[in-house]
Amino acid sequence: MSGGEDALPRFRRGVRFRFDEIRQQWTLLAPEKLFLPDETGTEILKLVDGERSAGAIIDDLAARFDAPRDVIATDVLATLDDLAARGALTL
Amino acid sequence: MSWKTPKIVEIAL
Repeated sequence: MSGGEDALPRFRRGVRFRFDEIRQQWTLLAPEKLFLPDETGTEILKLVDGERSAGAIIDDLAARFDAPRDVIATDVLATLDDLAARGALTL
Repeated sequence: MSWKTPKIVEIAL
């Protein structure tokens, strides 16, 4: 399932990433389930547009967050793989 | 802006 940094993550059909005004939180709504990302997860998902590669997402986050790129890369790729396995993303 | 390992909770509707 792992797509590596060349993968082009995109939300599966029927999956919506949006800000829920009632919960005051970003949510990922998929058929019959709801994903609630924390702040870091939200920052990753905001960059998923089907055009940006996983590597480009990592570069963007590495430029903004105070952590080594390889640490961010490990977490981002694991998160994308996990969401793909759970049916929210395609890689 | 410190990096924290992402956590995504899944809830069955």
